[in-house]
Amino acid sequence: MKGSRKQKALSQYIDGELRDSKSGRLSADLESDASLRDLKAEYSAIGDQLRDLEPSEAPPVEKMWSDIRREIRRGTRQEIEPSAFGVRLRWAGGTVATALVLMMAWVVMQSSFFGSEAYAASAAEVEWVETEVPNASTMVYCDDDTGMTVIWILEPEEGDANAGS
Amino acid sequence: MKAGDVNKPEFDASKKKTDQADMMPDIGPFLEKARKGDEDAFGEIVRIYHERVYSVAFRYVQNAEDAADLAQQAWIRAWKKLASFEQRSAFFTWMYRVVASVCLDYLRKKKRLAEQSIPDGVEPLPAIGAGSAPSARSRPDRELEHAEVRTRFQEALDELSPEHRMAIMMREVDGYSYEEIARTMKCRKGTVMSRIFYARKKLQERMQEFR
Repeated sequence: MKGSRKQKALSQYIDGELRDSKSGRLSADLESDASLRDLKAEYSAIGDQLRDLEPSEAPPVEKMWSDIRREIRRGTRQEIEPSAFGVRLRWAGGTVATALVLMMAWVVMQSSFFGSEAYAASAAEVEWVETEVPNASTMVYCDDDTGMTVIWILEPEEGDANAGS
Repeated sequence: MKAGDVNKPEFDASKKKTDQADMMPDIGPFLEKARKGDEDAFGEIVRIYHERVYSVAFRYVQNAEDAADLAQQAWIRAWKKLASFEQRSAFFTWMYRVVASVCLDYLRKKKRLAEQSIPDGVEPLPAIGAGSAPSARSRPDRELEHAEVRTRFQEALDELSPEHRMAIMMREVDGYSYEEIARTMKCRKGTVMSRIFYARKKLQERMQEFR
């Protein structure tokens, strides 16, 4: 086995994770190779040092449990009660919905006005009449204030297509 | 070393600290109630395993305050995930995975923050006692020398990536098999093997520099 391969195998060997066939070969290498034996001792010392790391005394369990319980309850409450942002969002949503309903109601009211009888009657009193005047539009209606019939002839002046008379 | 020891692999099942879990009081009834949302029953489980959970967290972060915070986070996560615990393994084995995962997340985040805080081209400050190591070794005070070795070892351990540190700790301190470590760390067995080897090699090299 080459150097680094041997070291890798040694690491697995120490952990009891090297397959039997390779394990036998490494055992033979350990017998004959002093530097490999030294490395094995160093790897083992590392394990000892890791196990010797000073432990720390755990904090009092009751204090920790009360903190854990508080967090658990806070988490449960948050699942049940919406957050402040959620409440604000709900208010904003409600306001927008109300505004939309009001707008729709206004639109419906407007459309029902234009569809009303009064609008229909006033619209019926205006009459467009065909005349001999070229490019002119003639409008005839009854003026409610004076009771007179008004005839409007709209004819384009020179250079102005929308002038009336 | 005795000549006869050469052929003997180091692995010893009795080293496995997690086996102590089986000797803990029967938590079955508490577990059943806790899974149904009984906080008091969960509190009993916390009381039984508190010290062991804390010591696992401390082993990874080597700081009492952080370990207490992480142990607390692990318990809260365990409460949320308790329904997913299928009792196919011992409770502590499952809980160990929860603590390990919380600690690994924390160590990764800490490492990222540390990397971000060091501007490019600026060398990190030398570690405490780095310049005085040789003279320290010549001091007659063996206690101090021992403390220096420990500090140095701790520094070398801190230099390992969270994954390497966790893998070697799980193997050497808790006695987990490669298969179990792979399951906990959610990686392949081959990855565990290489992480443990790399960690050993790195620690051995760093300690050799100190000698």
